[in-house]
Amino acid sequence: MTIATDLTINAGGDVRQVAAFVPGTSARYTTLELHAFLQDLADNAVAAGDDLVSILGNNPSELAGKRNATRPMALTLLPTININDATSQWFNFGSIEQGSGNDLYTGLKVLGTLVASSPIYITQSNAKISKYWADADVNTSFQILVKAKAAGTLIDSGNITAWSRKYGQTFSHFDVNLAAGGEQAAALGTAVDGNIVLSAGAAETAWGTMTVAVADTTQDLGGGQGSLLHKGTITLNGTTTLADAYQALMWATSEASTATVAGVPGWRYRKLDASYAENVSAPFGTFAGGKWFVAQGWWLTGVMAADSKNYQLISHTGVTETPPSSVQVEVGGVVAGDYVLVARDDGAGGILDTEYTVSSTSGDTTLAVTGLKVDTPASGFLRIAGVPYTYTSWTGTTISGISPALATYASQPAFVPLIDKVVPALATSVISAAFQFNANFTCRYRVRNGASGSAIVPFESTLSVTETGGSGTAVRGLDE
Amino acid sequence: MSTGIYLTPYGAGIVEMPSANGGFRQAGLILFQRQSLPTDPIGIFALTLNNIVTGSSLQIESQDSSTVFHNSVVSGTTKSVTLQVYAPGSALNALRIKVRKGSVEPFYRPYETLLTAVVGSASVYVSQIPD
Repeated sequence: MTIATDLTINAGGDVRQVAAFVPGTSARYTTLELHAFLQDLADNAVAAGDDLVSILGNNPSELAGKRNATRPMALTLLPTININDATSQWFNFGSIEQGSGNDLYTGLKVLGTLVASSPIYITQSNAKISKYWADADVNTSFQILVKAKAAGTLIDSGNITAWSRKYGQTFSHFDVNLAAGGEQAAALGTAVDGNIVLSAGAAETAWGTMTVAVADTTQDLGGGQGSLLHKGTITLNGTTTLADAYQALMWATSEASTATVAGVPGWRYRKLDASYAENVSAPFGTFAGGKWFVAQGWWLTGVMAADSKNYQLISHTGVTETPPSSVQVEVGGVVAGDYVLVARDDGAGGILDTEYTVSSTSGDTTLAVTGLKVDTPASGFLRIAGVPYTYTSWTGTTISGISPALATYASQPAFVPLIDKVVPALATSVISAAFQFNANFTCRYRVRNGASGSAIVPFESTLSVTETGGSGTAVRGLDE
Repeated sequence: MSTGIYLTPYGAGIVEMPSANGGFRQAGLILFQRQSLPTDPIGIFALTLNNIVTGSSLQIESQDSSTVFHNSVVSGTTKSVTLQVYAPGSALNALRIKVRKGSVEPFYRPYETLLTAVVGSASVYVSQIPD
């Protein structure tokens, strides 16, 4: 096919396609080729065929500058010669202005390193432009014309955004202003995202387990940065891993997504607040080394305990927030049958057994504990007036899952030992449940065994709990 | 020069009609006199176009595009064209000269100028700009 066979020009100057442009099949013509075609006709003595341009009519076109096939040409169609939107799809490498400057089609070229056949989409006035290009175009040269001006008015001030957001790849987008005509470049870069292992369907399912809401919230992550303002909250359900949550959000913001994110279609969600820097490759933050670097402004809640350290936030004010360390206390040098008690040191050579004052009713399995420390183990042991209990969880100031059921207590002293149990068979150490590190403190630990045949001299010492946890070793001096 | 037929009681014949205003002719006893119309030519305009790029297409037309007086592909850099001049005020004296070369390299931008035909001669320097 040639430009002469692909186009017709009627007596009114309408340059029209003979058949619709087929992306991936039809070949585009440069704006220079259109100019050359028109000028070739323009010096004919009379019009012939279906291209009604000759020397009888006005000059049909002019270029800004001399013909040069190596650079984009800004072409002006004169005075009644015109193309329409459908016909504009046949051209690239330059711009076409017509209607005394009232209409402008500007060239767009995508530059950069992209995964083969990375799909490109373009938004203008916050809407996707219907594609008239093929994914494979990026493998050679992605060059098209985009309408920038109509009826004398720039469309969205000439602004467009070129995107590539394929689930499974890192994302990219680039803002371009087409008002100047010629050919404008959009620099994009994509790569295979090794953190994406879920199918799109599975990611969509994971998206359904979480909520993303925009609202101011002031929260303290507990990592020492204090209470900070966040502009939105990502709420996980407590069973969705951070890795899955990341994938779900990448799906939700991918080109194919139909999800609404922070009030806008996910495929054009960019950032939570206009003042923030963008995370172009992953709008909700990147995932690297098993850790999610959550985009600025988001508060994250509902994180699985196993992921409690696997993320990082950035407050509205730009403060990087790290989760508190989850630590444990371990006592080694013990044998099965030893009784190990580890609790906070009272600073006077004893155990802090008056850590709290509590009251309960007989049969209770939950207990309100005023001032319950944030570095209380997720599960473990409780003593009220010296009576041992176990619990399975706590939140806020309430300990739950207490066993056996509580007796009636009225303002009795209580404390939460970190370890309070007999060393199980075959074990040589005992470890507390994990708890979030808040500040250094000292523990006192006791190891005793008075059983005949394995009796030891009661051992007592202290250990320091730091951001990496704490450990101590018992010295078992036989007492027989 | 055009011709006409005359018929008289004494015979008939063909006679050339005068091209000039007020021309007349005697044929035997018959005297022909032709009174020119306002649309008739009144003289000749010898137009010379200089500095044309060889191979360019040349068209000379009325400025209202109603009449094409000349069309050719120019060989050489000078082109002489003889045109008729009409009575003063005639739209046919208002000429548009188009010179184009867009089919064969080197290409030139369309050149266009306006001119008024007068009895006599004139030359136009054609300044084509490479495209």
